[in-house]
Amino acid sequence: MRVDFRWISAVLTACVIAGCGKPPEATFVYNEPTLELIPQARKPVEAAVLEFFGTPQKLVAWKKLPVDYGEPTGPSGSVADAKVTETSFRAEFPEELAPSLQLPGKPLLWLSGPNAGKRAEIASYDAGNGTLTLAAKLPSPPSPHDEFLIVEADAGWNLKEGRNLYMRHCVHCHGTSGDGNGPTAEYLNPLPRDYRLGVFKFTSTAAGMKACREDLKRTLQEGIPGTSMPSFVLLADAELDSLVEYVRWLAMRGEFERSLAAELSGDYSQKAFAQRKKDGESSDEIIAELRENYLVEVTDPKSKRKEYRISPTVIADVADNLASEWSTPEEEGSIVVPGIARISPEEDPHSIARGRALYMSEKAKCFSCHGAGGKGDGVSTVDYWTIPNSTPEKKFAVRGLHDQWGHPQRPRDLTTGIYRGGRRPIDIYRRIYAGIKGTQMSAFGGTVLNDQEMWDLVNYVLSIPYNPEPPPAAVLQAAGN
Amino acid sequence: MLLTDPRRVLKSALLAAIVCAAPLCLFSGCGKSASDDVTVTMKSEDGTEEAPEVAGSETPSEAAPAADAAPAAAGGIGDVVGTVVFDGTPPQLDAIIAQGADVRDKEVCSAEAIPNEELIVNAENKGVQNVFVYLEKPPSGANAEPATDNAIFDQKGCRFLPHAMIVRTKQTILVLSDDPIAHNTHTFPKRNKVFNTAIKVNERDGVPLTYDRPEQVPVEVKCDFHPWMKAWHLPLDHGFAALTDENGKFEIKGLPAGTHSFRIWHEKGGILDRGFKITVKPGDPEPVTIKFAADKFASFGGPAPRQTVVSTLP
Repeated sequence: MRVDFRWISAVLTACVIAGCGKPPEATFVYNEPTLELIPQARKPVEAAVLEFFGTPQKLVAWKKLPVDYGEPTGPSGSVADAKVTETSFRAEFPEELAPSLQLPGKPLLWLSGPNAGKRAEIASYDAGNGTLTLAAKLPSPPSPHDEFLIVEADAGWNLKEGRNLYMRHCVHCHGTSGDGNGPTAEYLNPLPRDYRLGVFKFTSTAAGMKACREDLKRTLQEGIPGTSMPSFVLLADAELDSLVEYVRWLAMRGEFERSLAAELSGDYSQKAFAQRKKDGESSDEIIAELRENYLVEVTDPKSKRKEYRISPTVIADVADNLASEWSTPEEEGSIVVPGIARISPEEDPHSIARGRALYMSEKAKCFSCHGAGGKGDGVSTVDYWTIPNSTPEKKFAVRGLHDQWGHPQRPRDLTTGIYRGGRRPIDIYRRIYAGIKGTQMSAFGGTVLNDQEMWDLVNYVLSIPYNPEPPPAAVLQAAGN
Repeated sequence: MLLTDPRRVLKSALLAAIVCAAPLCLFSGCGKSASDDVTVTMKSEDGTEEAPEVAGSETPSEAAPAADAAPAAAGGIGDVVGTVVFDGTPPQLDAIIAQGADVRDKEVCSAEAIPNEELIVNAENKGVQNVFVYLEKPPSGANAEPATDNAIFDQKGCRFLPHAMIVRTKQTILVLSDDPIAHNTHTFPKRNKVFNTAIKVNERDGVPLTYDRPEQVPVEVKCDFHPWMKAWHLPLDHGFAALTDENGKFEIKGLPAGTHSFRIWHEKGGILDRGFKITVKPGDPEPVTIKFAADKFASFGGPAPRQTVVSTLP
């Protein structure tokens, strides 16, 4: 065999050279409703999203939002009861400092005393006698027992950690902006979640409520069976927590942008603008109205140019709502907890039959979507459904149900034994109780079904894969329905 | 022999070295990784950047006070009465579900015909029903007291009652059902939380539904069991809004004197007018007639074009 060595080496050399150099910088993309605005409305929306969220390289951690960005962390210490000056004192550390920790150059953050909240740079540290010298004079000398922190990871470290993990593990499906449109996305069915509506399907929270941190973490740990979402249980627990915060932050970013665009799109989308001009309004009138109602004029500090930005009242209104919606799921009482414990079918042999009767009843109507045999082929899947809020009414191009993202969706096939939101009885219970967010699976708990009925349905649903034939009518009657 | 020729040995060794080294270079990346460059800037609640020297000094800003609470209108208080009129031949839409039609749950849903309520035009006076006429924001100086009573949103014969309603933010809407079959009420708001809850058979106590924030245009309400069921809710943070009746008439009371800009919306045509100006004077109001050409209500006749579906995979 003859191998042309020169060609191979030439190609490989070219590859190696091309592989070097800086990788292309990741960018956040703006979403459709923003891009459909007229430029006078679109630019201020884009500027606001950039101002409050930054770019993938220069993240902005906006404290208005309920995100754990990471407080400054590092070893803490206190001032010893000895001679103190404005630049030096003896430091005491309750825990021994790691030998690798280089104190000089590190910032020191005062936690208490006259300088509380202020920072100072450490010039030197004598490990022998504990004398710590600062690079500059403090406004007032510290008092003995004042506490401080050697800042190893600065504020925002958790967001940065989450971002870096996301860019390694999640970005290829979910995309840099969390739009579910990474390079792999087009090969996947179902599509990766687009976070930007702020909606996650599988939650433990009450009907209409957003996902809590624990829900997202569980999804990361367990993956979503029946989809391309794998388990990330091999990541460290703290890494999963950072990822959860970053995903929540990306969701809030998307929702913030979408909400701002929604405020403006009714009157200032390109379509509305064209219609208004057709109806006799002038461009100047429309733009003047936009500026009066939604924008303020500011001078860019760098370019000294006058620009229009979204007015602070509009920003505050949108952000207040966002902050409240994302913090409620973390509050006590937001999690669906059954009023009574489950009685397994072994202990209560009629439970499954009662559940089947409910499944087929006019009361719960599960068969209407999931089909009489649980195959997910109910009558709802053959209808052409209308597109919500379409005026005049338009229908989806494809038969069957559609989710909030506008994608066709199948009611779950209950015969396979694969449950996307988890297969524990409590998972099924919560799916039925609070519905599946962003889909047509509505909440049945508290309004239609009581606790006992809920558990009967759970027992029936869990039995379907093992009993392909539904129980005969006689059994249903015996179960007392 | 292969290994005895020194040139060949050298060549193989070089080749092996390149083959092994190239992927190493590629994978180890060259130089700094992008994640090292990431910075995080802390921004306080009011949006000011936090200087890194002094942490924890954020001063939460009070939101700017809402529209100035001016004293009650100096020019007095007046009302608006008017009629929305269809300019063209009034359409007569067929029932969506004819009596006795073979639809799902037919013993309930087609016991009586379900009229098409998308566009109701009075054949005699051409008044258009269910047109929303409203102010987007309460006028300054107006008395916008919150609602004290509950609103009722019922369903009977697989039809929402009423088809269109104006509610106040934070007002409790009791969702009822007078049907012996399950329904669900699913809202599609732009600024509010989604409500998607099953309503049990013959629910007469009511499941509470509230909107916390005002909307710019009405919110569609649907039932996921019965595709034809549809209604519209308009939540507003004031009461200066009205729905036209079967004669196309509407009335809005207690407005401060002056010129007001009304938004006019209908489910067929969407926003019919963004700012219809009406001048309010104290005393008996002069009736206003608002005419819209038939084509403003989009195409109201004819079925949707037939579609061929090749695949239902997303």
